Amino acid sequence: MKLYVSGLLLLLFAVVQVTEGHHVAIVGALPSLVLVAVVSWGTLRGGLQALQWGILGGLWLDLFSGFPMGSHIFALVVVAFLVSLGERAVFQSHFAFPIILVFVATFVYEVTLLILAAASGQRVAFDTLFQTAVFPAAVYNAALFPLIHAVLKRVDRRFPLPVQPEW
Amino acid sequence: MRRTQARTTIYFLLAIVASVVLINLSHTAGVQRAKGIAQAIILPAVVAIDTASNGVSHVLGTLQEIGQVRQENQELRNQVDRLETELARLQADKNENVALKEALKFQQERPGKIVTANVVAREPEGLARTVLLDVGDRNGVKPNMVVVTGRGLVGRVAEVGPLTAKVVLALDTNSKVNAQLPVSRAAGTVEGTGVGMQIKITTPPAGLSVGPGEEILTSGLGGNYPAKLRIGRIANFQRRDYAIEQLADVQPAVDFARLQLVLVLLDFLPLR
Repeated sequence: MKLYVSGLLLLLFAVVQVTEGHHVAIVGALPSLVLVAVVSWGTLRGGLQALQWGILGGLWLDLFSGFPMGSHIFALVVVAFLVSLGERAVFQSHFAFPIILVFVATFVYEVTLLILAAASGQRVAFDTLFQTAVFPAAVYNAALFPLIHAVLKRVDRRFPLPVQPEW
Repeated sequence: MRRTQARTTIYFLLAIVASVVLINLSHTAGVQRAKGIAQAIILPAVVAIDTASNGVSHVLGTLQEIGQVRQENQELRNQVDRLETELARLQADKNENVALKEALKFQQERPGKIVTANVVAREPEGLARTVLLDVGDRNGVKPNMVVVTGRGLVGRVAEVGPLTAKVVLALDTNSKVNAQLPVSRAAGTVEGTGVGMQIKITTPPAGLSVGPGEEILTSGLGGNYPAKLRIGRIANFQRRDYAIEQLADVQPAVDFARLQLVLVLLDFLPLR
């Protein structure tokens, strides 16, 4: 898939997340569409593609965020690395594996953001945010995964990987 | 295989290093300017999706109501459809009208230069309490300017781009506002907790008695906020007899969950 198509798709996810996220918040949890998309794409296309999506998606989110520029890129690159540790075949062998991965990835992602915010001198109420934002968001994102994954599977089929010549 | 893994690891390390460099440069003028320009470029897409979704949510609301009406009275379905659509539109107009009336009242009470702005985006994960406004440098907005609604204090401008401004809400854990309680004549600091607000009364007057519902206003001390802006009301106060400072929960004057139209005070220049 061309880089600009990925960029536009992730821009759409990011804009929907920042404009509509609070309308569909459940007990304070906001859906992280971009994070779920990065994990989903990584399970379909592997770690390097997750890295590419993490950088692009992080860049868009950084434009809307109160955290220092680069924080979302950093957090999503960490998530992409987490995704790259698993084999694609393993993730695709059982539907529960990627859902568990999203759950764990949400913790890694949001805790990374909070640590970066604290490191940059911002006051961070870790305990409150853990209860009101991080844990509910992990559940929300895990529940959201099948929907986003179904959409990205279609994208995957629409833009197939070029076949490598065998020598 | 091993070479591919090594290459992948190198890419990840490079990405990590690049993002760390960017974080360190994030407060420099160049990065801020580039960010502002990028925000200005994507602002139309943000506004378009925000507007479209408002229309969709009205239609969804209307459809839901039609479903209920259909069960009750099938033959009135079309009429109810029309009326409900009209009602949804009128409700949206009414909400906007209320916000504008409050804004007008605020300006009549406090004559001065203001600019109205719409909230177009919110913090992606809700970990910080910030919003993005559709006004910026070109509208005269500067960092640290105070943002309000007709109901009271919203927060302060943190970053400004050509067409956008990022506001740290009074709910954010980094927000501190010097406050006064005119009835009990106490003074303190209102701090954001991330999910609400709390007032710390550091030197409580002897025999301090604060009742639920008592109004909290900005004191103007420190020069960061104008005096006598409504912050909220005391929600819950339990006196601690031997404590140096007294704490109380604050019910914000502004409904932060439904923030849409805000005012930026252009003629109040904070000290920092």
